[in-house]
Amino acid sequence: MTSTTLEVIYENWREYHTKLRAALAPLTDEHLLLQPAPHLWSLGRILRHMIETRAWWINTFLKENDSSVTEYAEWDIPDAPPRTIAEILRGMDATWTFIEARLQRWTQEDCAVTFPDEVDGEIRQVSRSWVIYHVLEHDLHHGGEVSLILGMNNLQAPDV
Amino acid sequence: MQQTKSTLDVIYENWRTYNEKLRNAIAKLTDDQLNLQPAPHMWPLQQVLQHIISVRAGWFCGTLQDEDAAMTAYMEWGQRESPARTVAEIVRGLDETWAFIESRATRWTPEDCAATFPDEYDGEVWQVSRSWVIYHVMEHDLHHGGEATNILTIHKLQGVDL
Repeated sequence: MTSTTLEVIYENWREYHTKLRAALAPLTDEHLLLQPAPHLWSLGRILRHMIETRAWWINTFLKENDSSVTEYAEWDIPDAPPRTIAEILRGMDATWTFIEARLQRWTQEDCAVTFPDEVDGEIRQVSRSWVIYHVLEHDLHHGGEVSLILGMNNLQAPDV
Repeated sequence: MQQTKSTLDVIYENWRTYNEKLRNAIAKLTDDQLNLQPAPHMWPLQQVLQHIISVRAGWFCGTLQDEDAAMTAYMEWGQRESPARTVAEIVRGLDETWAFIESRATRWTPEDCAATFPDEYDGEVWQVSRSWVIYHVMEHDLHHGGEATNILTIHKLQGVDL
């Protein structure tokens, strides 16, 4: 059967995740300290932020309440500890598996359901569809930042 | 009664918003700032942006065989010998290639999106669907948009804020 555009998007988002993970797997814990400039986040911090964003939006915000990813929703809070490369890879894998299971299960009606989100004291309703796009955008945009840091340090970045 | 938007509609709408944020961040720059590099061995901002524009045009006009004179010209951007462009030219390139993409993506039916086109890669010919091209160009936009943002923030300029 021919895949729909949405199915193609989800399949290829998985490919992007796989390429990013493969680029990170050879790194050492010290590589996670690399920064593009002294005033900017380190590679490890960006990766914790990506993992936290996946877990927070899809699990916490959408009220999935899955204990397998609960811990990751706090990986980028103030005073969160740094993580090893092994922990980062585990976090990427666990959050991706969690997200993909939802993408494959949610119907178009599920995706249209909205949840309240407070921004600057105002409540707005955001749909699962919006959250899916937001997390996809977040993964790819910060994946680009990760690639840049790897490239600056002559390390292999994912090829898009 | 307002029709509920599909996930695909929401993706296209928000991809447009990302394009607007990127073009607005670039519009504030001077031509000289397009020469900023993250490291001496890496592409300057100018090259990253030309690459975003040429890849949009190359896939949507070239591979998908949707002939358009302006897009054909943008396909020549971002090559090794391509001339430098001004901020005004880059912003126009982002705007025009986005308008071309959006007019197609929002018009194509599921059957249109499933249609495939030949693409040569490493000497082999692959059949790629319009759906695949849509994802690929979106991924390319956002990934290189993240790189462009990092080049800007390294130099304490405003990038795309998610």
